[in-house]
Amino acid sequence: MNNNIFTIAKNTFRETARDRILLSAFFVIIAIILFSLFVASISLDQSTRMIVDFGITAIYTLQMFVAIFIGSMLIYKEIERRTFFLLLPKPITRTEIVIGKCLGLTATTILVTLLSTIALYGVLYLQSGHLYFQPILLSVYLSTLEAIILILISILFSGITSPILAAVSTIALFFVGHAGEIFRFIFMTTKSTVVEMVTQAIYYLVPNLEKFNIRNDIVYGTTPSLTMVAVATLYAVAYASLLLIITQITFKKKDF
Amino acid sequence: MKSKSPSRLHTILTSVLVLSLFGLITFLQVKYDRLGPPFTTRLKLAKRNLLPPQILPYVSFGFNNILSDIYWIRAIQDFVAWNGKESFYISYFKNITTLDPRFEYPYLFAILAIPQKKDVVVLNEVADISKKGIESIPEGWQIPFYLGTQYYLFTKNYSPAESYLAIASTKKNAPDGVFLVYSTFAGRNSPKPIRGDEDVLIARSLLKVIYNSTDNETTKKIIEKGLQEDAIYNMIEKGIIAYKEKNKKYPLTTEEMEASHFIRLPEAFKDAFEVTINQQNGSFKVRGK
Repeated sequence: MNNNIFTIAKNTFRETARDRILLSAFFVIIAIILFSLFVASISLDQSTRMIVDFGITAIYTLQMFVAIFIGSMLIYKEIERRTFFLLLPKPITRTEIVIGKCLGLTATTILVTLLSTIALYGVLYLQSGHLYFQPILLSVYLSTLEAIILILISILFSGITSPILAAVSTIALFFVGHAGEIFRFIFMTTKSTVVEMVTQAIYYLVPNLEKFNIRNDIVYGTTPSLTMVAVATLYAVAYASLLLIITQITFKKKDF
Repeated sequence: MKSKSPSRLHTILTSVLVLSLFGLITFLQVKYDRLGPPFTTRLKLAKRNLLPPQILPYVSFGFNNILSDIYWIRAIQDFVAWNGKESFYISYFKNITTLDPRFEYPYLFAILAIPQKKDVVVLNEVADISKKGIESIPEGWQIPFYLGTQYYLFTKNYSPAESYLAIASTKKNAPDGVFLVYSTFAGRNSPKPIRGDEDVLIARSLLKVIYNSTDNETTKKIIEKGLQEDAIYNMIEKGIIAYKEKNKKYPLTTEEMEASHFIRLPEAFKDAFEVTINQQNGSFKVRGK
């Protein structure tokens, strides 16, 4: 890997991993995973399901939190503290900065995901002895892909607008990305050509994030086929590359 | 020394003030609670405004699993306070099953807990919800079995009960009891039992009494075997009656009854014994192969 990218990624990882907000969020998520034990006790014979569902949703929420909130502050913080201007005259390209930032935050996301997944496995092992090892791992893998897409979206927005607006815009795209079925339903049933074209464009161009969601299937032990996982992975890689190019163009044009 | 005394006094006064404020806060909370309606009254008012199930899938944004779990927990909590009349309660189950149609337990809970005081309208509504479960969990026998049982207990209407029990009996993992209940239902109009004479019933009761009262392991094993055989005989008998009721003729073989989902004989029994059915009166004989 390019040395500059690696250095930026390492520093971003260090910086974000030490972030107090992230630390607080991480402890809240661990508390939610532990809280699932209480929910399990009042769920009328559905304890394992409750722990898996609460745990996996808590991990997912943490990933989205890192991607949206920390991601949208990443570039803005650098500009605000003026550390970004120290980088600009150095022999580092803006593309390297963007890739490094993204990789650093992805590494942080993977770290917190790993730690909270271990906590979930621990709670599951203590409660039921049944780990749902493979389905949980697959679900976490797919939601990490979703998080990477959202990290890139928030980095893109954070370079062109304020952190609050960047976070709001990323959240809006997150919702649209999970409501793909609505757009699909509209363009398949509408009689208006304009509506059909607009909804079809939204459906195919906005990231369709529901393909990374298998959280409903875990408790039934059913996982998507290998082909589906491969297609979802390729989709994430393609979308991430596209976002990387757009971010790079935006950053190159931006006058800091 | 001089400077320490006021500081200590200050600490004591601050502590007293903090404790007094805590006391005041607690007192005010108690006072406030007394001013409002009694807590038990509020518990009874368990009416909830739930989102309609039609729009739920569009606003869950990938959180279907956790939302269905939360609705499930709320449904259990509210069951205690629910008066059995408020129609909102059934909405919980509409929402849970919309969000996660494969979540089996809520269907069973709804079938058993919601229809009260023989309210057939509510039972029909629960049956509508349960149809989703029957489709989504193709291997599950419990939903149709529970539903069939409830229809029988509530309405004495054998037709829906029998149709649901028939669905349950087609499931591969259904226990033997399901087949026994289904064949009993299907053969309910039979004029006379084939083997159910008084002597057999007395013998069966006696065996059970001996089994429950003896401490001797050998005796227990013998009776266990006897009861097991009796259960198989009972199953075949009911199967023949049900088959006759349905097809207007006695079955030629036990396989015919198995194909109609009236019985399911253990493999060991089929390997070791042969059943001959009398086509005149439906009586049967079991012989070793």
